[in-house]
Amino acid sequence: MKTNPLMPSNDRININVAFGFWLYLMSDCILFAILFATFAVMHNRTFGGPGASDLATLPFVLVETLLLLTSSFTCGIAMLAKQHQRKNLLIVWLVITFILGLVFVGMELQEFIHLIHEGNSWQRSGFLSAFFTLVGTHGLHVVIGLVWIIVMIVQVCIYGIDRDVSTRLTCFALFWHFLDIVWIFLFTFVYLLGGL
Amino acid sequence: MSHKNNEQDLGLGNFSSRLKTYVMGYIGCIILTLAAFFIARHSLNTQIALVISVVALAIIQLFVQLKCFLHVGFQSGSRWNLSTLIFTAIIIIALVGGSLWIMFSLDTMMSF
Repeated sequence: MKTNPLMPSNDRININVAFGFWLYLMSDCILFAILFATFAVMHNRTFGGPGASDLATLPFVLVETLLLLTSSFTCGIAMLAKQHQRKNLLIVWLVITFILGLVFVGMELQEFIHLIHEGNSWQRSGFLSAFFTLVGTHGLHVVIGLVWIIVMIVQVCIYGIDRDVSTRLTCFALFWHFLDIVWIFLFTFVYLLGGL
Repeated sequence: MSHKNNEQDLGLGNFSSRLKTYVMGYIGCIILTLAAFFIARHSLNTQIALVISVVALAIIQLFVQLKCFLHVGFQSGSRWNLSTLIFTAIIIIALVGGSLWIMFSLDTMMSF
């Protein structure tokens, strides 16, 4: 085991807390798996309403996907800034991550409002119930992540990057990357393949 | 000692190699996403080929993100993360596979 001279010695996290959070994410995986299974069973039960191919245009969803992917990347860069105790840089990258996430949620809400406005809410068909539950649960996670970013920016400003804040930031990064992975499967199964 | 362990647990290399991992992961994911998008838009000859290729791209992207963004690997620090992940994957396969199996065979029998 060699020590790295370039590595600052004060980036410490509580490994047990991070692992506990990882276990929560694994149980969240199972929650999403159940919603995906429900969606798969329901995806043709449109009851005369719109099907998956009528929901949103693919380029619109591609933009959403790239926004969330980019925010996952900027979150990773923020963690690099954290490990090197670059407080201002960390805040800048967290703010960029927040803005990208906010635009993503905004686009998703616009899609939902458009659907509901046309009378295609979750009450319209079994398919739409499954769709709103699956995509809405993911969107709710992203909103919670956005609140979490604000809390972390405030904590970094007040406490600096100490061991506790560093641990919480690591947990947040795990959460945010996890949400992007869930979205890959949403993009694939709901939007790319849902119309089949 | 615990100090050194922590560094290894996090899999920390120097700044530029860590940055390179993130940038490579990011570029890889963009390429995989665009590939899936264009395959779905300009449908392949058969539906089954479309499904297999798009799902394969999603699974490749899952591994790219796990490796480059979440740093899950075989190093000592993330071994427990990896084993719990594999356990979760087994549960998901049983849960989703089993549910779909039952529901679709019910569906087939109901239509007779």
